Amino acid sequence: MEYHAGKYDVIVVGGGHAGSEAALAAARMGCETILVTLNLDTIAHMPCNPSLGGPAKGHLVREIDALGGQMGIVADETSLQARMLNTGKGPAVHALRIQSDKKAYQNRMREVLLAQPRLQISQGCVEKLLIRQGAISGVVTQTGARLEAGCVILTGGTFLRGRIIIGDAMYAGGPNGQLPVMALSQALKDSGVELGRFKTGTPPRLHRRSVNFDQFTMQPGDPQSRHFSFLPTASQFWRDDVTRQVPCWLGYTTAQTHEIIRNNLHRAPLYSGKIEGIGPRYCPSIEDKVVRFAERDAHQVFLEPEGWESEELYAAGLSTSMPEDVQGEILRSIPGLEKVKMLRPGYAIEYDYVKPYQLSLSLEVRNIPGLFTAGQLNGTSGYEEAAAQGLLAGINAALKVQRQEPFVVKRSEGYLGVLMDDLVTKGIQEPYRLLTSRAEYRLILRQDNADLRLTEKGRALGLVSDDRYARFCRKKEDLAQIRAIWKATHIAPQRLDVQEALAKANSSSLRASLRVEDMMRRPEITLAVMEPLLPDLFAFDREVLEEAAIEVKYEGYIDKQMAEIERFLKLEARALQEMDYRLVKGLSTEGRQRLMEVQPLNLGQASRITGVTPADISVLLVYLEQRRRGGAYVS
Amino acid sequence: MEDTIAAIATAMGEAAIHLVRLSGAQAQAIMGQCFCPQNAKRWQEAKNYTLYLGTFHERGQKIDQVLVARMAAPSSFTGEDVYEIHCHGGPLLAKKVLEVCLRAGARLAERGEFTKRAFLNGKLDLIQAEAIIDLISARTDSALKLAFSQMQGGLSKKIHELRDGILDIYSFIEAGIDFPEDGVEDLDRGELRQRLRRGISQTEELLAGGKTGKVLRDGLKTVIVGRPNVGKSSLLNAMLQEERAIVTDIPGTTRDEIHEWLNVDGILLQLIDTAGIRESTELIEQLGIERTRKLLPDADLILLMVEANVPLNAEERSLMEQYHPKVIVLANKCDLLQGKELKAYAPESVWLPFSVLEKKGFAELEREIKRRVYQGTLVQQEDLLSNVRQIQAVEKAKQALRQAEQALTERFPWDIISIDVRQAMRAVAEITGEDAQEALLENIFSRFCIGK
Repeated sequence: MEYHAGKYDVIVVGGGHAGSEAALAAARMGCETILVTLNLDTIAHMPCNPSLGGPAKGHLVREIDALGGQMGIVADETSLQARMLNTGKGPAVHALRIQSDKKAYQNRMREVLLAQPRLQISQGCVEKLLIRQGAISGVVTQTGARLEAGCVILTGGTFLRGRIIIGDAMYAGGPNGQLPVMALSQALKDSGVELGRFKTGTPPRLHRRSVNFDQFTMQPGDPQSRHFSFLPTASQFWRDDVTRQVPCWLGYTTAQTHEIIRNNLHRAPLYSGKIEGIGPRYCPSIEDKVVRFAERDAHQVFLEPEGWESEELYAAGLSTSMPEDVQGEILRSIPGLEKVKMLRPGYAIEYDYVKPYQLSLSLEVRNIPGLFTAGQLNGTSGYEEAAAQGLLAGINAALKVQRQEPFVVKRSEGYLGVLMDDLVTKGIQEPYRLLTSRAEYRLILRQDNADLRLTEKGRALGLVSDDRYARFCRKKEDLAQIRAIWKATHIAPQRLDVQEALAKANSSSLRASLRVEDMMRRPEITLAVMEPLLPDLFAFDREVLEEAAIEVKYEGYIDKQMAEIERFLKLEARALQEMDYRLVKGLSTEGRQRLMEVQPLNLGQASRITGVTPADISVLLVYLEQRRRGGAYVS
Repeated sequence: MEDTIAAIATAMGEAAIHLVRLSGAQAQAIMGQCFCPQNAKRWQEAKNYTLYLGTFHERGQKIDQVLVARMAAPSSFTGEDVYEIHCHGGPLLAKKVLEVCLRAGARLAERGEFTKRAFLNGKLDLIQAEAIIDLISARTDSALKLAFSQMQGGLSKKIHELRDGILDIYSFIEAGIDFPEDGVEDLDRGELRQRLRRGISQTEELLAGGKTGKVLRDGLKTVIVGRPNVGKSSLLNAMLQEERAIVTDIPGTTRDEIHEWLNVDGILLQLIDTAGIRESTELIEQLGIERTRKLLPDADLILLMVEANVPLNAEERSLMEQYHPKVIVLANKCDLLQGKELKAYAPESVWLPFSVLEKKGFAELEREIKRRVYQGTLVQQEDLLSNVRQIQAVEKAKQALRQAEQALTERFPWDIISIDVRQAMRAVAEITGEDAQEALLENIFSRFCIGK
């Protein structure tokens, strides 16, 4: 029996990383919001690595934070260790990664959700979508609760018709022993949404006390304190005492491991045709790695702590769907794991996803106004990609409720934009993972300037608190001031301490007086070289100084990318209405079909659609001009 | 800002004067770089609709004396700044002028692009929109890809080597950046420099081929041979008299050997020693044959004319065997016999039934020549780029690789160097018609064992 369970502005279905951000954003923007989750105990659960960040993903977390999202703060607060990756490879690709305490992360996020005004949390399983006059009007749960709202955000993760595969064992299930959601797929299909099927996997978990760590190399956190959030945060575990961070451990598989895998390939679901879904290339299982890279005699295994007090270790690199007994054998063939106790076996999971070409850039299903989808349900992988979409879906649902224009981040403004545009415009063939190489303007989309790129936008949306905004404004002012000082200050060649420092840094000596800015341009001159020489010039926050140094050192390249962005924005500014491309004469057959499918928002997006040719864009330009002059519908 | 576009506005090879057209905001700047007016003061005044005489040059190296017409925005055909460069001296110089414009910052115009701009800038009325759309949509966007797939073995191999080299550099850098903990070893900076240099020299080689390319610059060395009275001179005259076969004198070439140039639908034929053929009444065993024989090994194309109804002699047979791939047998007077018997003459060679008198077989000959040029069976001794778009893409790749090397020298980090490497990859991907991003991921996942 159905019963009326309330009317809301926004319903969020699913309480993972996407759902959490979506619900918080909608509620913070003033919407009466309800989050319906399968299980209150698994809110913001991390069924895979106990870590967040890394290249592109770390950038995303910074951007989420800059917009006023929650992920970065909670990651910082529950951090076990933090490391900046790629420090030697240039500022654009510096990428923070944080190992988090899984349980603490969940608890903290749940506290935030529960404390959020205008947000209600409810345990339940949504099975039906209510559609009125083509638009979404609510959902119904398994227990008959009929919830009404003008906007519904689905964040179903990998739960939709989830199927777990471990060797020859196969059963319906969600990640990590949870229940699958069977009915929602059909509800989506009945509403005309096209679904696809993907696969992903995860490695076994080990008992810490059964590991001989002598056989592993310790991977400590950074010697300095690192944070995702632009707000002041600290780990509830190690505070800012970096020596108390929890290490990870690096070991290797052996020839024997590979022998075991090869001998058992006939039992591997990956090769017996049991797995139908397409898996990600960047996250292969250990059996896949052994087969495809037969010449390698060792593969890395990272043991990552699942929690501050947890006895559980995550065996990164050993993702597998081999039978449980083989998993045990594989583990015991690894030096240091001879006596290991496996707490949970690795598994593969197959699930339905929504083909994202059906979405607009605001994550709204184009054919069902008011229905948004976000996260792994859209065919992405990763907590960060999910959270990013959740945040954007939450924002856009709220804007829709407020009858405002959608919020779209451009490719030139953030990885958020790259992610969204790739999903919708290019389409996906495998679970999508964000990579820095996917960004055209990588040098502009750095992790250090995420706030400079996005916080103003977050403020306009109402997601940026006064405290955050004040900090942001101060950073901007300081930055301008530092740049001005560097421009105006000259250093005379008479200064022996300067000459000495230059010689020490292998930099040529000064012949004439030189501006600080020009000195900073020299690749070998770092802040560390300059600071002792000009203490009063450097009396600013370290982070802001580094920002200024990056801007100066890479100015030429930054300017070049900015010029490219300007060209990019020109096409981006040519808006397209939703239209029937069959009326446009002269388009290529494939181009027309793809344009119909995607219904791009502007010419720039149109030009990036796979299958749309430059000639199609030219034809469109002429067509638009024709229409502008009032002569288009003749054909 | 829109790109500045350039193209040869006249049909290739069909006129003694050629017109290269430039349109766009940078047109003036480009002309400033490449054009040295005779009357600098007049040029400075920059009047509209005026012709200027001067020298067209690339970094001071003279290319041609030209007339330049100036039409400033918005009072031009396209509504943008337009310059038209009138060059004398044949299609090759026009091509050269165009290439200089491209190197100076212009982009090769797409088909119908001038007209498209004219329309978008309100210079053409609505009625013409349909025609423009037809023009644009007739364009094969895969033209480059097609050109690439038709490329001959040696050249295609060179492009592939260049592409693989750049893709590897790109993959190493990007795999290291995006998968820092997957055991991808960092590229050593010295090693990177070597690889960049290799790429640069590969592009240079390709471009050198592109510039001195025989087909482009000198035409295909073509020798017409045959017994006396077989109809050689009639063939030549017929070919030269064809209305669209314009004969051009190329000054400065070796006058004593080269007399005639022939344009076959954009492919230049250099007819060698044609005077000899014209005068030739002597027997094939006599004086002229020695000279002709000396020419044969160097020839790109041999048109062997035989009489369809007369069996081949030993001389003709050995010539066919020896120069097999570059011989086209023209069986003249085919009107006198049935094709069946003809086939028996030379089953191993391409033969064409021909009749100079009845003007039969010319179209087939043209087609055969084009087929051989485009499939690359003719000019094997040199791998050359013949497509201006391809040349432009390789040029772009070269510049980008140079910048990458520069960035490396200036000790910039990987994320900066990769900007230039990516640029190079995108340029090469234009030629091969692939998606640079997809090629990168494909290569990373097949080369490196990614997956922590």
